[in-house]
Amino acid sequence: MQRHRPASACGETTFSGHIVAVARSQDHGAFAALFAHFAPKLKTYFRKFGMVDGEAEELAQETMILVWRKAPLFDPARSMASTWIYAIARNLRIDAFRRNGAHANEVSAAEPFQTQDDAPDAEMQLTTAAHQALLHKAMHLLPQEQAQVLQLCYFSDRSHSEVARDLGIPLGTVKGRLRLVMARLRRALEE
Amino acid sequence: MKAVNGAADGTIRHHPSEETLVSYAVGGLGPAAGIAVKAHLLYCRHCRATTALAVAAGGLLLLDLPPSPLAPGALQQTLDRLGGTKAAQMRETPAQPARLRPPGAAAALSWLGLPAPRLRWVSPGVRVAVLLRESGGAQGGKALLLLRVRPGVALPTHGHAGTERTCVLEGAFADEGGRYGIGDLAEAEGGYNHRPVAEGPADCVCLIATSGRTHFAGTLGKLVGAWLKI
Ligand SMILES: [Zn+2]
Repeated sequence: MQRHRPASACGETTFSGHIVAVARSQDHGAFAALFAHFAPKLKTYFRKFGMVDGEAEELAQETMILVWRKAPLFDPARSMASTWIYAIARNLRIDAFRRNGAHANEVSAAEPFQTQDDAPDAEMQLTTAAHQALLHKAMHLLPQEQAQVLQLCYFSDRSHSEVARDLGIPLGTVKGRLRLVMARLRRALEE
Repeated sequence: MKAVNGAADGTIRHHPSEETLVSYAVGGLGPAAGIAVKAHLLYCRHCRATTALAVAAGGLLLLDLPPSPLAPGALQQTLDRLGGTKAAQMRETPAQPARLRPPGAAAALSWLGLPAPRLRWVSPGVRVAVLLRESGGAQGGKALLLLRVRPGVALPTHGHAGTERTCVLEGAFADEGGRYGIGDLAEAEGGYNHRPVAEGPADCVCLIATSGRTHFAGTLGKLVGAWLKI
């Protein structure tokens, strides 16, 4: 189903295959390949949220442990490997943030708050290597000011108001740029 | 996310803004607002697609991040930490039912991982439960409330410092912004003063995520606000 892999597909098919191999046969080789590619990037991801080296390393490893454990839940027909791993890392970051001093007692109600499980919908059809390549290309072609807002929204704790303040632009401009990005991504998939 | 498809889809008229969905996708909304948006996603295919796209963008941005050098032996350390866990033995919570009609508030709350609330009387025709309270934050506290309002009953006129997000789980309400039915999400920016009224025939049950201080007008409103501590 995902055999034909465009050269620009960032190895998406390979990564998906590795996760499936981990699920099927606890394949250490496949896990090592995933680790080599993702763990260093995950560490950068966590560092961007202000974590010190040791903490970022720890969470990068924890993310990969969850990749191993949750592999049976990965469905290559429903999700891209990068999306799936990103969501795991994001949830770990949210949990770590809550555990840390910054927002201690943030949730005072005695309720089992669950982190998001917003696995992409099958109907979205974002799963093939070709789709990923189209999206990725569109993201690389974003105007600089849109890419900058995107980076700050995805890789920092800043609210949209804080992003606006830091960039010295109106809040409406931040929101507008995000909408433009989403519109471009949608168009890219329609091509 | 599986969803309450079918009947509900296509009847949704009020959606969160695209920026809100991006915030949700990056995990930046916080629990209270996050749950209100997640409730809307149960009903809205359109916003699920947008969210999926925003999460996919996150995955691609992750791929483009430069690598940070790992500690020596990081892979081996991680493999050791896997211990004897067999991946295939891992089983998570059962999938949500794909359909449930009518999708009542109780079902929606259980899908959202929220306990059955104990609603308390706050004013004639209005019962409320505080599902969770976040403290701190630049704009003051945030809270997630569940309201059950009798048809024809108006909530106290109120305004708020931060954005308020309301997702209808049963019934409907109307305010200056329009009519909101099951699955609709009303997103009110700070400073907006409104006076929602529940519409018949049945009770309106909704989740409300407040952020920043909420200001109620009138004596009744002040009582409600004092009780809710929002
Ligand atoms: Zn929607």
